Amino acid sequence: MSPSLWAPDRVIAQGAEAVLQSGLWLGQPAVLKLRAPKGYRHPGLDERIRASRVRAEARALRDARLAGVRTPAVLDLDEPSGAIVLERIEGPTVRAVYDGMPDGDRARVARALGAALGHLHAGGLVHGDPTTSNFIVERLPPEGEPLVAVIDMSMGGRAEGVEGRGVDLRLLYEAFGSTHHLHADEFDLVLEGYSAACPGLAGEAIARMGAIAARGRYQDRAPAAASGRGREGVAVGDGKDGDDADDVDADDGDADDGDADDGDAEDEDGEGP
Amino acid sequence: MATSLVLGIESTAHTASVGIASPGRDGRFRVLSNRSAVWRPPEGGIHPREAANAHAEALPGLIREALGEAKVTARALSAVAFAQGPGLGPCLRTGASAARALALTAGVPLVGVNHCVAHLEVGRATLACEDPVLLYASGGNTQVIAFAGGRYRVFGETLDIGIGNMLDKFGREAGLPFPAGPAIEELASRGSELLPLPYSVKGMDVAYSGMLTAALQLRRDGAGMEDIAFSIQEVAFAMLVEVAERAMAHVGRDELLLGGGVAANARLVEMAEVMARERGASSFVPERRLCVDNGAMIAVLGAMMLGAGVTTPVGESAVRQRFRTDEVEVSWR
Repeated sequence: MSPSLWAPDRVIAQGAEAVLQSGLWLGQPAVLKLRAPKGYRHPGLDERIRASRVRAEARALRDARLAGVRTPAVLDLDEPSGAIVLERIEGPTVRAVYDGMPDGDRARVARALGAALGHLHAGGLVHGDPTTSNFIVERLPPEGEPLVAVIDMSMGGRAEGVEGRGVDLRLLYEAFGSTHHLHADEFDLVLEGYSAACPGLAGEAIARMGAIAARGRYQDRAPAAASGRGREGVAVGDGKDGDDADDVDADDGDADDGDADDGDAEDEDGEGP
Repeated sequence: MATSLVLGIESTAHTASVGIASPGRDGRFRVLSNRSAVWRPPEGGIHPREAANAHAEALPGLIREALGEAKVTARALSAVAFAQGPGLGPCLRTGASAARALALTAGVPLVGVNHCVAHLEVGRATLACEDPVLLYASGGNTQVIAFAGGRYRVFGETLDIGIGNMLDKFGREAGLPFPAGPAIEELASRGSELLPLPYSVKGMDVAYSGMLTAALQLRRDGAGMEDIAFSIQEVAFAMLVEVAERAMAHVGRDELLLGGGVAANARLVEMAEVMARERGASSFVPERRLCVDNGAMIAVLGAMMLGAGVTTPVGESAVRQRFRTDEVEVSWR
C-alpha cells in the first residue's frame, strides 16, 4: 500500500507468522499485519505460502463479515509484500483474560466464544486456527451478551462439509484445554454457545470433533470418517501456482488416508514412537 | 544414598536399548552408558512380535554391556526404569519383563516412564535449555509438546501418520533401505527442483498421508528421486518448523528442542536453527544417540522421577500402548 496512507505507531505483537503493527490508516485506527519471509523455508515455497495466505485471509474476513460475524474490516491489501491492513478491534484476547475472570463472566465469555465460532460455521466458513488468542473480548457488559470478535482468519475460509467444522471444534477444544487447563471442563459452555448459534449444524460437528480427536495417535481409533478437505494446503512447485485460492484448497493433503493402515500391526512401521 | 544410578530400558518399537544415567552436581544428568540393538524388518513394516522376540534375545546382553560400560554392577543401581508406553504391545512387554526381572534381582524399585516425555527430558537434562517447546519427530510420533500447568501437553501433532512413517513408507515403495530417512537425506542433497507436494498445516497440527500419496505419484510420473526427496524434505520439514514456531509463540517460549529419529536430519536441524534465530530464540538438538530411541533417555527420566520419590509398584507396571504425553503427572520439576 502507499506509505502515505499508513502512519505506524508501534509493534503490537510478533506472532509466529506475522508482525502486527498498530497505527493509522487514512486517519483511522488500524492494524498492519505483515507476513515477513521465513528464512527456513525454500524461497519458492515461502512466497507461495505467504501470497496465498494474504489472499485467503482477506477473502475469509470479507466472507465472515458478510455472514454477520464480528471481524476486522479489510482496509487494504498488498500481496507481494505480504501486507494486509485491518480495522483495529480494541479489547483483550480471551486467552489473556479468561483465567482471571469471575466464574459468571467466564461462563458468559465461554458461551460467547462458542457462539462466535458457531456464527462463522453457520455462515459456511471455518476459522482454521481457533485458539483463544484469536478471539477478542470487545465488550463485556455487566449483564447480557459479551461481544467476542474473531480475528486472524488466515487459515480460514469457505468450507463445505462437516469435516472443517469438526476440525475447528477439535482445535478449539485442544487449545482451550491446554491453555485454560484449570477450567478445561468449561468447554461444555463453549459448546453450549456454539450449539445455540448454529443449531442445525452443531450436533454433527460435535460428533465429528470427537471422531477427529479419536484419530490422534494413541487414542482409540474411530472408524475412518468421510474424507474432508483441509483448508490450508498450498501446492508448491510447478504447475500449481496458487493464483486462485481454490487451487490451493484442492491440493491439500487428505488427513484420512492414513487411517485405514493404522490398526494393522504390519503397517505400524517407522522408527518407532 | 549419595547419588542415584538408574538403568533405563527402551523397547517401544524397533529399538531395544539400555542406558545408565546419574544426576550431576550442576542439575544436569550424566549418561554413563547407552547400548542399542535395532531390529530391521527383512521386508515391509515392523512386525511387533518378531521385533519383540529380537528384543528379548538382545536385552540381556545389552544390560550386561550397559553395566560394563558404566563400570557398575546391578547391585549398585538405585532403580530400574523402563518405557511403559506408548508403543507396540509385544515390544513394550518384553522391555517391561526385563525391567521387572532386573529390579527384582537387584532389589531396587521400578520406575515406569513415558517414552515421549523421556525424549524431552533427555534434552533438558543434557543441554542448556530450561523450558523448551519440544518438536518430537520420529517414525510413529510427530508432536509439539510444552510444559503447562504441571504437565507436558501436546499442542500439535500429526492428524494421520508420523513424519518418519511417511518417509519410511515412501522409502519402502521406492526401494530405499530401512529406515528411509538417511537415504532420503542423501538423495535430497543432490536434488534442487521443488516439486508440487501438499503443504498441510491445520492450526498446530500437520498431516502427511496426502504428501505420501503425492510423492509416490511423482515417482510414477517419472520425476527424479533426488528432486522428490528434496521436495519431501523442504515441504515436510517446513510444516514441522511452522507448527513448532506457532506453538512457541502461543505458549511464549524462546527455546526449541528437537527430539526423535528425524531430528538427526541436518536439513531439519538447519531449518529449526534459522527459525529460532529469526525470532530471537534458541534451538537445541541432543546428540544423535540421544535423539533416536535409546535407553539413556529412559534412565534420565527415571532418575528425575526417582529423585521426586516416584516409583512404580510391580502391580502397576503393566505396559500402556496408548500412554498419552499429557497423562503424566510431572512431579519432578
